[in-house]
Amino acid sequence: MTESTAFAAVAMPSAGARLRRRVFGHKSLVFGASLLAVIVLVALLAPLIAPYDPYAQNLLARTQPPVWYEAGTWAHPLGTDNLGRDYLSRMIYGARISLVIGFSVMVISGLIGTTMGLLAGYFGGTVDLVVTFLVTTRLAMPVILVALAIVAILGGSLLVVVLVLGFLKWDRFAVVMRSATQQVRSQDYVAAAQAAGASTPRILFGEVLPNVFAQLVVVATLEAASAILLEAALSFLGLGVQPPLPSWGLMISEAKAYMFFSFWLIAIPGTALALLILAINLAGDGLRDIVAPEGRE
Amino acid sequence: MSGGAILDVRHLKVDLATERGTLHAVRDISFSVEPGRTLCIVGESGCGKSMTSLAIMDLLPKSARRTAETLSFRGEDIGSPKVMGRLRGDRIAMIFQEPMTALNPAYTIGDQLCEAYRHHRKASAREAREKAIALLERVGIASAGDRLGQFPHQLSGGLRQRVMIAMALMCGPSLLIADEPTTALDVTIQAQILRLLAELQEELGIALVLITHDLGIVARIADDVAVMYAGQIVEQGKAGDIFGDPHHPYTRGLIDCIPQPGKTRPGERLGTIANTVPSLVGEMRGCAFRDRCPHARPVCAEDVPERRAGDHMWRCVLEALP
Amino acid sequence: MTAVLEANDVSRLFEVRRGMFRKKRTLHAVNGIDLAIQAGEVLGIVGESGCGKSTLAKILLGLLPPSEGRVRYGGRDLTELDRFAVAKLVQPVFQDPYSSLNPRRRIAAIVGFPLDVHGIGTKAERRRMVSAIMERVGLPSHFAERYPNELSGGQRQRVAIARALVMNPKIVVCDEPTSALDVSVQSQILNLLLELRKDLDVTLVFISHDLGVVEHIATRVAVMYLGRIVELAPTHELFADPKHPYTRALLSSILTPEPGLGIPETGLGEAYPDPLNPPSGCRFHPRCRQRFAPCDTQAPRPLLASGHMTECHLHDPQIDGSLPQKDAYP
Repeated sequence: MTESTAFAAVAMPSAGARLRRRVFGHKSLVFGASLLAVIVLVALLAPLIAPYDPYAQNLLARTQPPVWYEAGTWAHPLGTDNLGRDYLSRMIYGARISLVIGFSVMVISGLIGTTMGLLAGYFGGTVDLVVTFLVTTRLAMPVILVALAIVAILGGSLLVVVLVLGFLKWDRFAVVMRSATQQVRSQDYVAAAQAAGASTPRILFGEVLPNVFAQLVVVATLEAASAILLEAALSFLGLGVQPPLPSWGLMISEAKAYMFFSFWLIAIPGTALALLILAINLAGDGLRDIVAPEGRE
Repeated sequence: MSGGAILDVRHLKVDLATERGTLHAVRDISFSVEPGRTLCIVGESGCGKSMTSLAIMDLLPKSARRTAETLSFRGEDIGSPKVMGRLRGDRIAMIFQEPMTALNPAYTIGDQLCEAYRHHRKASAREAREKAIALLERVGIASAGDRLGQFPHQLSGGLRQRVMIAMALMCGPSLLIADEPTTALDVTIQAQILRLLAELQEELGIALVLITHDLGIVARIADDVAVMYAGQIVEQGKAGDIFGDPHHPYTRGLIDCIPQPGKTRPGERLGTIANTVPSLVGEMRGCAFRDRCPHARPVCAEDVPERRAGDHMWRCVLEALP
Repeated sequence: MTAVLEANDVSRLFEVRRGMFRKKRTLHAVNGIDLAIQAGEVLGIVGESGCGKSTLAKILLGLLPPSEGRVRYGGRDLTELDRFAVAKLVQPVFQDPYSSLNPRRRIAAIVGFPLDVHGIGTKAERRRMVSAIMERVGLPSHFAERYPNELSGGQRQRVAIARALVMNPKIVVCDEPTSALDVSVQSQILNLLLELRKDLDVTLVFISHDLGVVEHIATRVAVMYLGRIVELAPTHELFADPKHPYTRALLSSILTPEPGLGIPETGLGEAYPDPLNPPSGCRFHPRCRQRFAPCDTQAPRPLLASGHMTECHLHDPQIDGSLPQKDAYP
């Protein structure tokens, strides 16, 4: 800088400060991320904050309504279910199931899909043909029906649900990573790395992956949300997580018979599920806005 | 100068709202164009030349704010969106740098050529079609009738730019604004397109405002030249004066940067302009070029006088370059 | 002078298929090129877009294996050399400084990347080499910790040049290195390249569509048309006495900043031919004003006269020049 600069120096916020301002200025991202953080915190601290053992039955105190009903008491803020189990405790432990499912399915399908997408996008040609064929094949199978069939054969359990969904839901990862990689592949810095003599793994992990990571994060959040919904659907149909585990989907299913007398039994886990999905989707959308190229300077 | 002017722009300013503050993209520029003449606005990226053309056409992005004392086309106030809406595409036409983005890929060439004509002239489909064929032939497109049914992606870059020119001429405009019309084209095609523009301009007597970064194009096609730097016109005048006797250090610096057979020796150092363009965000005072100017002195931080010799105008504290 | 890199009859084909069930078509992006790059020269390669100059650059860089022919370095085939040896021999500078630098890396990491890959020196030595080359190309040392998006186009191009030179390659292939830059920055980069060439004794291949720039920087120029070199000569000779009608048309299209000269008539028809469906005989004949009897049937052979190569029947003594002139260009 010369002493006499032509223009009054403008207070230029640092790159980090600008990013912070953009993140915190994004209302739906802040809302979604905060809600998600609360749910994660609740799930992590379940043993500390749950007032009762979620499995402890008390047949004398069955289907007690939550506090906001006239007959409700603070002893069971969210009431009890048809076996007299404290609904708040079951909800808190249920958050763990949903998050475990969402996270594990995301990791498994993410690993499979990202690998396929990276390879297809980078190498093109035959590899691309094979991956595209696999994606098409996979897309021809309805997730829920295939999952139902497999779970029906193997029997439902948390592990089976995670594995089945994990091995079924990689398609969006593969599709998005493929196109993102193709785009990065055509950048000259990849050619420059090749010309420098860098090995293919080095280029894939050092040059390509960091530049498609933003898109990866976005897909991952959306897939986690969809996995949680699928688990709820499977559990509702009785083919997912098995009783007495407190999965939110299973809780809705168990409450079916009581929905006309004890509506809260369905409403509470239903609302929780909707809020969790909303939180994840808002956070994912927000992230996409922040990392999208047109959002950058 | 503004007596017979077809386009008169006085004290035009364009401000853009950005994350870092207000960016003064165009800082108080004035110029006018007379019928049958070519004005070239030349400058490097970010100097505000494209913003100027968009401001005239009332096509600025939403974040931009335009103010002008006068913005008139043949005495009509084109600062009013209503007036401009009537004149744009009819009396005033524009050609863009990348014809592929300016042409709608979903419609045929014929549809796009005829649309504005039918809209402004209330002409029948047949009249419009005949006019389109005649113009395509005039801009040098063979088998014009067949081309009408084609889509933009089926044409080469040079052909597309010819179609753009034909489209601009459909309603017989009296003012044509061309923003970097040949930058995306090969040199051989560039020469052809420029020739075509020059011929058409002479033939139809239209006023042409050509915006470019290429001094070669300016020298060959311009009658009048406005050199823009950091949102201001720093030098303005007849093409011969600007190239033969540049008065602003920036203009001279730019000309010295270009290798020229006969003037520069192959392999020798070319002239350069030190440093980079200043940020246009925030308030500014004094000469915008002073950080890069070889003749800079303390007084350059003060307000810069506008000097004139005949039609030749330049903004510099120096009366003549050493 | 000795040849550092030699291309013998090099071709590169691409299979192009528009749609799954359409027939495959072959695109000869580069078609039978013979080229010997001499130590210390600046070889300019010019031509319109689609002439194959960028494909040729990729072949010379070892990024794209030729479909036919050989590229040889010191008698050995480029494809036989391991990638480390090729990287030490030839390095690229690309056109778009915005896409040639990894946006996630700091400048020092970008410039030092080749050293890291080759495991040259200790960490401290590498850092010293990086700051030395950065200084040499005119980048202030405090840029080392910045990211590419904090730099201007010209500064980024200096980073790309520093990265290319950090390994001391014999050849640097510059593919349109200044065409994305403003004129005032272009001249800085051209000056830098010319200085570096002298100081570091590096051979340059300079690909450009800007003939004015090529005339300034190159010592020898190859003119490409539809995958072939149609004329190759020392710069002053090519610009003073162009033999091929295409070269003449190209030269006439240069717009020097001289007011009053008007816009030249190039004499070329509009259409650059479809590379998927190249014309018969001499590939230039549909646009040529001087075409005559043999042009549309017989491919011209390379004619060499004292270092000036051209491929045109007009200059071939074995072709009867008195044959009737074909209906000149419409």
